[in-house]
Amino acid sequence: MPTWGMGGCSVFLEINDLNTYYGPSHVLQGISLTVAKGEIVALLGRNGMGKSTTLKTIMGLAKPKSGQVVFQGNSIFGNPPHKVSMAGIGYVPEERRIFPNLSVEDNLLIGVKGGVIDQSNPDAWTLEKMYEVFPSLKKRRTNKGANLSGGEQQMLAIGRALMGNPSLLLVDEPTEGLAPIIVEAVRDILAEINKMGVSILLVEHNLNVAMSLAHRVYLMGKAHIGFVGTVKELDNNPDARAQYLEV
Amino acid sequence: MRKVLKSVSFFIFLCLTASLFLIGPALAGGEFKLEDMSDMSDFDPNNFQNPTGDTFKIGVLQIFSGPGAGNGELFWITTCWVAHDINKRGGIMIDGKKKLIEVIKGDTMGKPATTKKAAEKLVLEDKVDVLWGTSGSHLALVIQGVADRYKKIFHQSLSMSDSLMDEKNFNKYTFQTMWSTNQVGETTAYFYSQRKKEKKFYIICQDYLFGHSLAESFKKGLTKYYPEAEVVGEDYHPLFAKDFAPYLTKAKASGAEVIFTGDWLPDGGNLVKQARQLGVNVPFANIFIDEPNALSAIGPEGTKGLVNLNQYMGDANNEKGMAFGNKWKELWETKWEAPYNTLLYKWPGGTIGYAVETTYWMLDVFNRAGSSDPEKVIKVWEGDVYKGIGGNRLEMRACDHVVIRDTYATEYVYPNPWFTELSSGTEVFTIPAEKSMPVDGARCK
Amino acid sequence: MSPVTAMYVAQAIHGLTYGMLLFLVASGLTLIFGMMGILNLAHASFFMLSAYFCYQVVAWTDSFWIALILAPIGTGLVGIIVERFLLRKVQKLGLGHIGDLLLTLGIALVISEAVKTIWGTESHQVLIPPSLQGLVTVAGLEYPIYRLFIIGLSLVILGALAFILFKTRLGMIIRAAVSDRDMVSALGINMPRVFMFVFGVGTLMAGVAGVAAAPMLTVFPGLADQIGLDAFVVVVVGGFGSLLGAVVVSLFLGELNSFGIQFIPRLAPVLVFLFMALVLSFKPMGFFGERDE
Repeated sequence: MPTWGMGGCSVFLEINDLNTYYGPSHVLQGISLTVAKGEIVALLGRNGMGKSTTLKTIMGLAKPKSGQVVFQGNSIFGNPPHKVSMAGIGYVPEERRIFPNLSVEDNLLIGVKGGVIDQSNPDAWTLEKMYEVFPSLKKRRTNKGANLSGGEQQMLAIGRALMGNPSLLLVDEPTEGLAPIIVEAVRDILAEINKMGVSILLVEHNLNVAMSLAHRVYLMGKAHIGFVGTVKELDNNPDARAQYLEV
Repeated sequence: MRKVLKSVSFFIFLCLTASLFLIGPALAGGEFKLEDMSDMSDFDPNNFQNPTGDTFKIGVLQIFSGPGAGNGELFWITTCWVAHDINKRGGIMIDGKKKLIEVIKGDTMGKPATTKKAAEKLVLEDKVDVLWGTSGSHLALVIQGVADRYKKIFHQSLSMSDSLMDEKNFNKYTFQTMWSTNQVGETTAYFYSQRKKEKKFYIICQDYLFGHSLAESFKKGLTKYYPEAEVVGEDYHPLFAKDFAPYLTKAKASGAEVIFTGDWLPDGGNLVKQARQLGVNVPFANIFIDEPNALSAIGPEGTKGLVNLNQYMGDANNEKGMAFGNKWKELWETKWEAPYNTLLYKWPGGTIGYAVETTYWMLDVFNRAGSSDPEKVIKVWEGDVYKGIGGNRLEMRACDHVVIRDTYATEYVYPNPWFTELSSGTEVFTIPAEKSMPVDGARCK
Repeated sequence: MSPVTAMYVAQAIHGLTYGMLLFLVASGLTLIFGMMGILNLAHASFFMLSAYFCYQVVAWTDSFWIALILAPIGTGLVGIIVERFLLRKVQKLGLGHIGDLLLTLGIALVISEAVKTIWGTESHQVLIPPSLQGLVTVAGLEYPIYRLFIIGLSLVILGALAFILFKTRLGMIIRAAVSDRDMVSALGINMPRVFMFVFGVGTLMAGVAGVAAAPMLTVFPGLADQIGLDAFVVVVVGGFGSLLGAVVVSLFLGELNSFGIQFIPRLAPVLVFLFMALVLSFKPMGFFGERDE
């Protein structure tokens, strides 16, 4: 299958002709996309186009009917979520879904794969490193998840996923419902994480955030991809923007 | 003239004498005779062979499946014992020929709808000559209806409600040999009134119609025979209760000297067991807590002092009863296998006793009637007097088809002639029939 | 202590005994439902199965203590097999709660028939072990040692359970899974394996209750019904998945039963349902409920 303008970059994540159903509803109709190593790819489009479902399907939280999902050369199609996670993919879900009855610290610790920090990996995320990058979390480390503000919960959701040392992060609507200052902070954090080497597949309705973060974008129409290109190419294509994005 | 008078008077004398020979047997009623009993040494309840061909069929309606299947098991052996015995004697006389006895099961599953189906199947498909059963007055009532509808004799052998033979429910095809709730109350009250020892009674019964009726009849009995007695408390617990401790603690605190209960197993067994575990050593006056398996788990100490009231009781001082009992026990010891080899089946006392005895009576009635025709059977059974296994007198009251009989009470002691694993009754106290009469039913005015 | 006081204290301890027994059964049920979303209609049947196992082990070894160890383990193993080979398959069929209900109902029926086939329909007795027989006298109140043992045993298990839930990573995973099991899975944790473990432990605890109750009650095929209904009330009122809710409501129901019988015996059987209706009208999720289903 064609890779889009990759040149020599290795394809990290590749989705081909993915079909997912919710009951009788054909929610994804032949979706294909790629993410290269080190890239931030944004999946844009109006509500209900299947963006979240795409991420869920990759993560194993939605069952695909047919197609291919290949990560680092291995098929993860139809794998249960824990296997996808163990392969190196982290998930920051829509609505954050942090565990309300666990403390901040426990929410982070539960993200540690196998329960033990990998001592042999110098880049492995530890609590100390986490609290350096997310000082707000350090402040609230003993608080129960339910007592955090929206922004703090978002940071926690990201941090929790990072504790598993993913090489690819699936991020679903991270700025939803957040104040502009927090939106900035979230954006900056994602950029910083990417610089550390984590690839990101981002679903985001805030066009500015998406355009400022992403290298490439996919525009989703009803259950299919309508446009793919670099941010610059999208910038120069008002028709595409009009057709697929918010009015 | 004198010659004629002499002949006439002689002739009248002959007729009278002859009629005595004809009426006599009919009036004398039947009798269980141990010496007529066949050699039962080949009787195996697990392998009872029903005869084939033109047989006399008994339809036994009981619970044969599910958690209550132990009931069906029990009345299978009692009915088959009698059938086996009679068959070895050649059967009974029906419509001019000897017919062997066939025993057919009808599974009530403890539910009214299933009971109706089973009874109807027995009548219409299996063409039984008589229906026999069942535990649970609401189920007995259903069978009574079937008996009335299809004009089939129903031997109601196991249910106790006073209303079963009242004006509303009575039908002439049904004959109840089981004693009734009212009789239990009077029997118990009379026993304690004669004993003149305990005065404070606590009542713990199951919280449904039967439990409440029993409690009421006991209270009535006390008023009648033992007005000095005091009911210091009463409680009704749900069927299959989980924990009896709260009730027992109340009973203990009330200063009761006796706890009266109509509980059947497992509630009855659990009641006594938990009482002893709690240190509540008050005796229980009961009608169903005579099941040796449950009692053996409680042991000789915990079962001492229990007072069992019953319509049939093994009595070590009754020669006839003991002779029968020993024959039964010998087979239990040497021949029978599971499930009939537990302590429950060792002696034919209590429930086994009255089920066997009244079944002999039933077949004797049919034999004397010489027919399966319900009208003929009714004529024989109404007012009939039968002498039971121990020589005890059973009279079938004509107006409402219930039995007038002595009843019995015994206090459990240790040691006793029956079991080593538990206390049991040795001395049997007889409550004369007139002291505990069944209530006047349908046509008795 | 005056006799009246002794009576009330006795009733209170009766309530504790029954309450703790109820807790042992209900705790497994609430964790299973809270975490796995499975309405286990067979849970009380495992309670009964363990009582039969206990009877059998005692018959073989003459030791109640060996039975106390082996019977619950055996029951837990049956639970694990049921989860691994039956429940999991049914869940894959995507029938939702109906599938679980039908399957667990079927299992309850199978267990019911199995005990009758293997052990017959008659009741069986398990004796209190000699070391636990008899009464202890405290301040004028005589109380059976065995019931105190039940309370003690249940507290030990409650302690162990609390330790696992709040001091271990596994416990953390279980608590997280009660609120969002898919998310836990997405963090790399093998949820099927955790489910199997929780189902096994929940069943094992019902098994402990079965052994504890056996000497008090009779071992007979209707044993499951006695406690099953109460356990469900505990789960519904205490909140699905809440261990704290299970403890609180179990003890409350135990005391409600005792003192209900003491003071308003005619109403006692209905009190439980009145209580449930009352709580649910104010807190439909139960006192400590967290699930959204």
